[in-house]
Amino acid sequence: MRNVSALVFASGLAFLLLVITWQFVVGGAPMLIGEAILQQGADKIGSANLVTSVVLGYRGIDTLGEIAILFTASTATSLVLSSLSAKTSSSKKVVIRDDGTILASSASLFFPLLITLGMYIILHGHLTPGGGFQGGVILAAAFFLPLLAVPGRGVNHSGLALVEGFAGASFIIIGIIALFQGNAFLQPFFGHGEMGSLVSAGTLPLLYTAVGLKVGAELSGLLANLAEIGEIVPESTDLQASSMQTESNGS
Amino acid sequence: MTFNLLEQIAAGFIGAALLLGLIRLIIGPDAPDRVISADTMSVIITAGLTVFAAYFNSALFLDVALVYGAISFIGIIAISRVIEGGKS
Amino acid sequence: MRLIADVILLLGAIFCFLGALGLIRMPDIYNRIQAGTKAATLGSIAIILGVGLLYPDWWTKLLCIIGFLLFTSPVSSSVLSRAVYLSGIKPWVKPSRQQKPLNTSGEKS
Repeated sequence: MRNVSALVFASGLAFLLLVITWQFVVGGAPMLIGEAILQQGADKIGSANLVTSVVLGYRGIDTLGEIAILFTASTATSLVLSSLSAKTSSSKKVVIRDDGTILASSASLFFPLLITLGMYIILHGHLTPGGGFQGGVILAAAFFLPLLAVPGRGVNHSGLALVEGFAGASFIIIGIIALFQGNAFLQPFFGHGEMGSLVSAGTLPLLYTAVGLKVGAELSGLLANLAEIGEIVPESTDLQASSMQTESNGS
Repeated sequence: MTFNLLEQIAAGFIGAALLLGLIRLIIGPDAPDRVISADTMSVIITAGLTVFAAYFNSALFLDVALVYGAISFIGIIAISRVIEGGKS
Repeated sequence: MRLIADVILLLGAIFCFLGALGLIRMPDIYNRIQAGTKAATLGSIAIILGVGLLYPDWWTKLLCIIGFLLFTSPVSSSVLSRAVYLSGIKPWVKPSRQQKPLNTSGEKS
């Protein structure tokens, strides 16, 4: 059964790779709006990455909705997980395992590199592929790496909540400022700037920075909650300790 | 840029390496074997993306390679943590 | 200039291929980690150097990628091998080492 599923997966992957390499067209999509955006988007929004001008310029309210969905999901998950941890944490103390020195030291070295990479992806969202959501995931991964290296390390949840709320509020405030200028909600103002430079495309970089910070804070809070749940599973830590003892005795 | 013969052979070797890694990924008897082959493949793909960038003559693929390397590193470490705890 | 770049690129690709071949041929998890990581990392760095010789404008980003690979690949493979060892998988021993001194059949365990 597992072989069959692996075979199906491999054949699907091979099909996708063949499609990408040969670039044959699977169906045609005569989208009229897509054509119009392709023709006008670069002049109207001024972003070098057309996807960003669609995500934040033409469909800004959709992005607001996506952020709200993410916020709801992470809040509900942390609610469920916190009730779970309150039930089990009284029964068993947390045992912190012995951790590799290599991973612990490399995690502290790697953390600023990943933060820099994530901020680079976020800030260049209107120039290169990437943007707030992708860079936010990299920020969350950066905050997840120390948790992997040293299990049981605490996370500043109130700080994460502060960053998250501030980023979400600034997204909406930018949209309302656009209303006061006589435009539509979330319409980019500030002028286009020179296309392809870092300060261009109006308010799109600011909006993407807000999205990236919010996604990063939410996902890292979610991962921290999950990691704290994983620490409180009682049996596996005992097995781990006993097996390590027997191995060291045997060798 | 259009590739000459040597560069085409190099791209073929990279593709063959990825194919061998995929075979190990499918037939690997246990979870650790699959993780190892995924690790090796991610290193090779990071280099292969720079070859893509050279072929399509656009520096955007370099960003993709950087992000791919970072994400695969985090993923491999998370999976190895699971293997360490889970006695598979 | 382009010939040097091509030769370095081809060398790197061959190293990547040999590392992946070792991934298939090696008998044991630890051997596979060793084959895959070392050869593939060297090959990848050679490939990126070759691309950098082809496009001299991209040196900064390519150096970032090389540093990234030199940093992440050993760490991830060492963490992985430590995890495999802690999960209780014993290293493979050559059969001729255990029983007969002159058994060269190359039998896999």
